[in-house]
Amino acid sequence: MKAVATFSLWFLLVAVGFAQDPGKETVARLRTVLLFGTNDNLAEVVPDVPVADKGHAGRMELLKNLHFKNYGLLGSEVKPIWRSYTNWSSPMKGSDEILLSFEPNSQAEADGVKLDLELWQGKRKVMKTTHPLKNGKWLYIAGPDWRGGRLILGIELLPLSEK
Amino acid sequence: MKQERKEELVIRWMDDEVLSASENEELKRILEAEPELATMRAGHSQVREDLLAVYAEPADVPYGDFFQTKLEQAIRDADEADHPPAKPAASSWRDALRWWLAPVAVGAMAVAFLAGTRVGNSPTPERLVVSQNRSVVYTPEGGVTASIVNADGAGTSVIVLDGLQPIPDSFDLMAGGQSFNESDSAVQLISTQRSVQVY
Repeated sequence: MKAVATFSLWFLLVAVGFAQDPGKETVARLRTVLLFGTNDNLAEVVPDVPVADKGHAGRMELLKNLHFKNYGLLGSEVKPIWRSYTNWSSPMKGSDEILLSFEPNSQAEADGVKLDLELWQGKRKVMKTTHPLKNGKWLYIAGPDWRGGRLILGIELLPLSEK
Repeated sequence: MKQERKEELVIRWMDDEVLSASENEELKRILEAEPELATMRAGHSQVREDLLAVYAEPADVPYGDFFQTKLEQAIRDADEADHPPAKPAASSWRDALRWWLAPVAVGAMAVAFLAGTRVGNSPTPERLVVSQNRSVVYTPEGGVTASIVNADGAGTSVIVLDGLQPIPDSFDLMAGGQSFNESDSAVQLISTQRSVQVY
């Protein structure tokens, strides 16, 4: 009985602590997509991988040296951006090969926020940047090669109100 | 005889001072009246000899010349601070050299700073890229370079990382059981696993 009471009190204190932590407040949301760009037949190279939204291919067409014929979608995820805590995105579900950590670097505005971004490959940090993101504007990170193509991480800032 | 005069004569006598003839006459009368003063004088002399035996001979201050020099220098410095010397009307070649040496010293410090940053673990300029919108990309892995491209007028940006270790082709993709939405279209979630070969 005493143990139950102690555990209940501890749980209550933890719950109250998290509830009152302003750093845990969600200030925006971040959509991450992991794309696979290849000039080969997508179905032959990676069967069962769906074709990515054509908007990605359209935006990537503007790059001279980094444009592929086909783009597959390996994963997508939407995660909250906390006011003062780091959050993680692992768009490739079931794998931690490609990870992205993100944390606000400045006050979140109505139209955007500046984020500290870290890209991890195979549990090794390969890139760190501070980048201003605007709602609906995409940031792509062209990552490692794979099967003759390339893995590309797409990042889009979503406003808090959009569901 | 006054008491003060009497004490003065006795003290001078005990200190072996030379007295005049009249003073000796006065002292003779005092000693006749108080013969115990002779015994006191002997004791006083003994005490003085004992004290001289205990204390060493007076010696000069050690390093006196050094302290004297420092004192003189301090006095000269104080005088110069109060009365700074007037600058010569025409600048000497030393002043010209001083102006020439200033930028050279600044340049040397800059070179030393850059050399220090290369010797340490700080990122080399090639691993630190700054874009037009002041984004800074740092690639801690050796051999990895980054470039930032503002792709279009719609606000799309691309960070291109070159030199990353390629993911092996054996890294297999398998269809997962969850679903997610991208751009309002439901697609199948793909999970990945490394294929492990056991020998």
